[in-house]
Amino acid sequence: MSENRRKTDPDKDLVARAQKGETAAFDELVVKYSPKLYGLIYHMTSNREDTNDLLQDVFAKAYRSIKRFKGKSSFYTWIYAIATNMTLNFLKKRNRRRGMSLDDMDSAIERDEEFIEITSTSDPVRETYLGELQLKLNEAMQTLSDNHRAVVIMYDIQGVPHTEIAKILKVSEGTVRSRLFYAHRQLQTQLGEFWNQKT
Amino acid sequence: MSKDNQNDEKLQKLLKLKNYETPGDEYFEDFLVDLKERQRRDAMQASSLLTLRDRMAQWFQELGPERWAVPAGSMAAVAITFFAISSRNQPLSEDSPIVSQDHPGKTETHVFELQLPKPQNSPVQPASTPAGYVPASSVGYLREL
Repeated sequence: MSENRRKTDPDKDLVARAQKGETAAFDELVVKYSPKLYGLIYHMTSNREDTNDLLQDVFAKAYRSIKRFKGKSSFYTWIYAIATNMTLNFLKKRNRRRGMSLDDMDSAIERDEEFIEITSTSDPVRETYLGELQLKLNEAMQTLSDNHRAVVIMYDIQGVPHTEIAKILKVSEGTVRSRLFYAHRQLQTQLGEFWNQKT
Repeated sequence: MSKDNQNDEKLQKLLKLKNYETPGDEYFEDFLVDLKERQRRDAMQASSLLTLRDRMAQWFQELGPERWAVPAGSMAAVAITFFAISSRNQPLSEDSPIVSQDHPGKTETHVFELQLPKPQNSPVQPASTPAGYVPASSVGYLREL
């Protein structure tokens, strides 16, 4: 994300066309960024239905507000901040925590080197481990506060740099690092026993 | 590498695997269709509200100089209605002339005597005739009353 900021925004042309009212240009932006934004919202809520509704709201808001986008940041940073803020506000308002409604793991995970390294077991055992791993990790993530979970998702899952996270959440870089440290300790405690059994 | 660092590295690798939790390409194709449908609905709703506003503005302009009578007349109607309702609901005051002093709460009917000028050709009234009585035989405009 920060590389996009130093260079010209790769979406500059699409954004300019969308600001003039060209819906096809906005559609291209939706196709480009909906998977990444889906991931952010999904990992925050752990619920497919909520994710779908929120993602619709995010793009609807972006569509209404795009004429006010001045280009001070990249378009991706801008819409990512909208998605983060709307999701955090949604989680604050949600009275009770809804049950998890999870997506299936993409089959490509079985070919992932990290996954093979972590499990280091035979294929049949690995498949069983896969379901347990997904559930256990999501449960552990839900024990974090919304703010701690947000930094873990942005940094560890989506690879957003500390500086960008700080701008999106409007906190200092030090706060981002300390939240990450605390969240990692919390997750390690939650996963400790599970790890020792399986790996 | 310390154990803490090893565990942290392991955790980060595990977290990266969550990127594989995805609904698939078909979901995102359907998502775009649903989004466009929602944008269409939002645009129609905004358009109908704008049309209503523009029509109201145009009607008001077409009234010409009389357009100021519309709000003025509306306010007058509201004021009249308000006072009519509030006066009907008000109890009769003690200072009202039709409230009897001797019998509070009871109303009396007063007869006001008419002091009419005597016509020039009117017959002399007999003394027994009560004051104000106009005999049927009298000629003049008063009888016609």
